[in-house]
Amino acid sequence: MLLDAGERELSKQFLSRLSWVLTYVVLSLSAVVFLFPVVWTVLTSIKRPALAFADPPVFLFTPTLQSYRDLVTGRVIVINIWRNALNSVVVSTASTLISLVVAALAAYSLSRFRFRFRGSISFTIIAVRMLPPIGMIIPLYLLMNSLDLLDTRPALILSYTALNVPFATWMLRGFIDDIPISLEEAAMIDGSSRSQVLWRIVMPLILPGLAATAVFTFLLPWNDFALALILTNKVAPTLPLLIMSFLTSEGVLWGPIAAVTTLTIIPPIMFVLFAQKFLIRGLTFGAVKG
Amino acid sequence: MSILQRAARTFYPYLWFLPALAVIGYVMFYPWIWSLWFSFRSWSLVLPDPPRFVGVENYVRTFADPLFRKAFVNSINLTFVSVAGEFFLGFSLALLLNRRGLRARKFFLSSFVVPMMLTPVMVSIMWRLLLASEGGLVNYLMRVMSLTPLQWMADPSLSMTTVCIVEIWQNTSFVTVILLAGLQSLPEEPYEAARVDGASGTQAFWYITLPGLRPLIAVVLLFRVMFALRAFDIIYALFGGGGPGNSAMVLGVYLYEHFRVSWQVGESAAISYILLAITILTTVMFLIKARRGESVSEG
Repeated sequence: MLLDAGERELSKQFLSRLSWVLTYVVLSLSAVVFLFPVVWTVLTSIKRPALAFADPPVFLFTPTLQSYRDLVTGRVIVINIWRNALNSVVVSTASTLISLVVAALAAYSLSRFRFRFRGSISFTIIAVRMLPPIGMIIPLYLLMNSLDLLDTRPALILSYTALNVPFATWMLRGFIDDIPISLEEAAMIDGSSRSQVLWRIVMPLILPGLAATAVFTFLLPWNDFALALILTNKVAPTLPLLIMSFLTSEGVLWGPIAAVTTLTIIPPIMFVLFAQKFLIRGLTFGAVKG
Repeated sequence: MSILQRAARTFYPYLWFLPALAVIGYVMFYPWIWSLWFSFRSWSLVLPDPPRFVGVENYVRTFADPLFRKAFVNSINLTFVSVAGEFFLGFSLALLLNRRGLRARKFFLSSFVVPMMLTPVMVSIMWRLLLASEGGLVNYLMRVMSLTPLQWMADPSLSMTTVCIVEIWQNTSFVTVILLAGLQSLPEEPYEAARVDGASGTQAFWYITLPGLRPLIAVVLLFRVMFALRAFDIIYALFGGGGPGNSAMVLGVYLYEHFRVSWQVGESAAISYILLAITILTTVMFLIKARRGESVSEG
């Protein structure tokens, strides 16, 4: 069956339209798949607790904050959410601030100074960055045990900082590399010291990159489970550890469980919503430029 | 310049580096060396006896443990399946997102990014909610579609599948984001030349896109493999351990449970080192394959 020029043109247009329709369908379906579990959990958290686990699942309901109230008052499920939440906030924030300062210093020196072991130090940093926390549980437990720091916030802050510094240094170094040296040279000729140059000139210039690094540096402690599990017990557990109380009760209290989950994922979601540009640039930056 | 001044000049850069080195050295390297020392000794944290030298006994005993071997096989399987899934899905999505003239790209990308930012244990909780035998949405939908609902959590033959699903769900976007950035940074010229020469879309993909992305693909796969080998959070949060009948036992869970139950520092340190060795070996094998592929394509 031979097509004339007009028919060929139409069929090409048809295929092109079809491929676009398919593209949007696939992308939309993927978006639904990636977002749905989150949405479902949030919805479950605002159902009346009895409905949360109904079979068949309930789709239409009047929203209520009862599950959240149960959490806070400890009526139905007894977990110390305030303690865990506070620990998470304190540990994550402290570790982020310390890591950023330490990493900024290291990144600047890697970027600007020429010194003998620069190459091997860079390599070590990348190598260390690639160790997921679970591999560290024995060494860190030994260390914290010997320092008598088990079940304390400083133990967590110290561990997370050590885990964050390599990655933060690597990211910040890439961003600092992009700033032309001429600005700093001009400032130093005018009498500024190196550290003034770093904090007053370079850091403000890499603010987007700094923000992206800060987000990832914050999320590591916030999302960590393995280290907190092994290093803490009654005093310093973080939010993810709350699931330990869920694991024993076999899903009877889905309302409050969904509420805790929703609360814990608020920072990550907020970062995605408000910092998307920074995040995506930060994530891809190091990877693309190597 | 005096000797003192010259010395100060040489050491000055290292000063900037000192805090970072101190933290990493003290909290990471030093305990690791310590663990190595312990891995050749037997020491229980709950017994009063001091550490006792036992040579490679801890390592031998671990390799002989059938549970360890099951964990090893499961970890390899999990890594293979989940990374392959994440790669193919992630790459496809990246290719679609890269299409010129696509609208709402930022919206799609942002929604894809959500899973990878979430707390892994909370992701497991979300999926437990969805996959529960009673009240779980997935089984409800299956019943609606006249399929027999599955025991996602309780069936030993399904537990690794469940783990793979959750892992792929959480990590595919990592692949997508990185590869999309790579795709968008590929230069235009080779494609135009190819079009002039009459090459088809598939040919352009195979001979221009893939080689151009090779280094990035290697990086992405490497990262995912290393993290998949050590997966712990998701599995532990899904099952509270190694799953029904230890069917979902993986290396990370094995290490944790061993330590928690036995409080044997020596044995657990040996397991940590075995895990480290497996990771390094896989990485090295990977890099060799990637390097060899590079020289072939450039030749």
